[in-house]
Amino acid sequence: MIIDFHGHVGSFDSIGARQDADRILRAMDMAQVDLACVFNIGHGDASKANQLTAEFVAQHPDRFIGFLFVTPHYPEEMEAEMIRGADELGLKGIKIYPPYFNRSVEDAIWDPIFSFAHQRKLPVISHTDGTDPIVNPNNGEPQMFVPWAKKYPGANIVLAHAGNFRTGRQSCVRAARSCPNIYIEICTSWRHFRSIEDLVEGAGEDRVLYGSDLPLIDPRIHTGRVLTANISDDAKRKILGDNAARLLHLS
Amino acid sequence: MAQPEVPVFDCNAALGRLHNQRVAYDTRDDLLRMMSESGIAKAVVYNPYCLHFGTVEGNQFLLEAIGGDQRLIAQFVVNFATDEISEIDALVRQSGIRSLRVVPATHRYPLVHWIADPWLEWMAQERMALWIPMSMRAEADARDLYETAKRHPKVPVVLAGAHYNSYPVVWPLVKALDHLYVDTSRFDLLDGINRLLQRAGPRRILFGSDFPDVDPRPYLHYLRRCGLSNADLEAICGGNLQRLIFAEG
Repeated sequence: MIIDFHGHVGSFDSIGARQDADRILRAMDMAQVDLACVFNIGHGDASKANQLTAEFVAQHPDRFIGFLFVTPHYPEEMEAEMIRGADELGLKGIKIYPPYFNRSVEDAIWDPIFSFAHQRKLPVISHTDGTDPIVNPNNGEPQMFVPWAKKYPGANIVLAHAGNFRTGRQSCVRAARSCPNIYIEICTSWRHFRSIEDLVEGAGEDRVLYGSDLPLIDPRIHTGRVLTANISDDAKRKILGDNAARLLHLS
Repeated sequence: MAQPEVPVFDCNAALGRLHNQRVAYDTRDDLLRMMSESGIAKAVVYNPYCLHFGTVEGNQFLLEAIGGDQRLIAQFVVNFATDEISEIDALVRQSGIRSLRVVPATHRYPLVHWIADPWLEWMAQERMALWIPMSMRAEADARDLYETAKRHPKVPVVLAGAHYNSYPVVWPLVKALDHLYVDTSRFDLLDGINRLLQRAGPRRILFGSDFPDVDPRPYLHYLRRCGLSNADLEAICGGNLQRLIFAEG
């Protein structure tokens, strides 16, 4: 089973990515992707975002798994919306995006989210980027997630984009090696040589997850990164699906 | 689901070191090994020294690095604002160069007709094609590119490294001018190849690697899983570039 751990609900018209479930499903079929995790980060009103995610998933419940989203700009709404998302809408993980919301990963505002994930044993996926954390403290530098992972060991924290660049990938590997509940998801438009091999050698094949960033990026490109990597077939199976199935309690 | 192998001719590879960072794969042997491992038979290559320092020097370094290897097709980088056509013309004839690359933003000039016209008129006579990087940092303003390219329909223009972030520029340009081509090396958008096919047809899409920054194997994996006809796959993977560079077909 192939599980895509990173997909968006909603449109990104400025870069030609209008929501189109049929187009997404066609690409998933061609990539042999069985399931995709999707979330909506586009609304200041998290309840609206989560409602749209749930409705999107409901159209194809055999192909999509919804993740919930909460905005740090309305902390008073967070807890109730997380409970609603998980219990009423059936959303199975949490997406956060610190750079998009201009709040550093180190900000205490995120505490209730990691705490909720810890209590419910949910994965939390966050944008990461390995650029200079001093120049851009809100960028989601991978090391910033380590204190949260240690404080909330029941929360499985997924570092999306594997830090995007080489320095970010190295930082992701260090973070994963220091915390058993940190995982690394691979999607990025930077398809550097040996990026998958380096993640597997550094963090281990049990800690790397396939993701595509659909509908921004085609899922065939990132299944291709895994399938053409010089790693074992067993490692490919784990990255493409087995590890995600474990985090999503599907296996 | 995967299609049979077709000859692959890469439209976008760099060969050489950079001054400001270590380049992981910076030699001819590195490039040829990558090409072999990826199933790429030939590649159009330029030297990155030309981008920030000397074009004439860098082009000479490129020829030295290629060392006469027939699998590597030299592409000269020129500066329309400061280079002299007469000097480049002599070097182009001497070396059999069939395409040029310009980087107006990096070279600090606008791609306007009163700078570019003499070059493009000469290129049309010589049946040469022009590469302009339109990656996350576009090398030309879209208005300048449109107005200038429109005046020279006999000079094919390749939008190199067109990233999905450049979509709002690349998409209307491709619709507006039918002598613009898209290099796929960074065009990762969902179902992007089929959408490009609908937009521009199979003859205006060129496979590129963006070596040494990007591993080409995943994109070739993707191209072979787009449901393309063998003719379209062959055109995108190499036939179109062969036609552009060698005026064949």
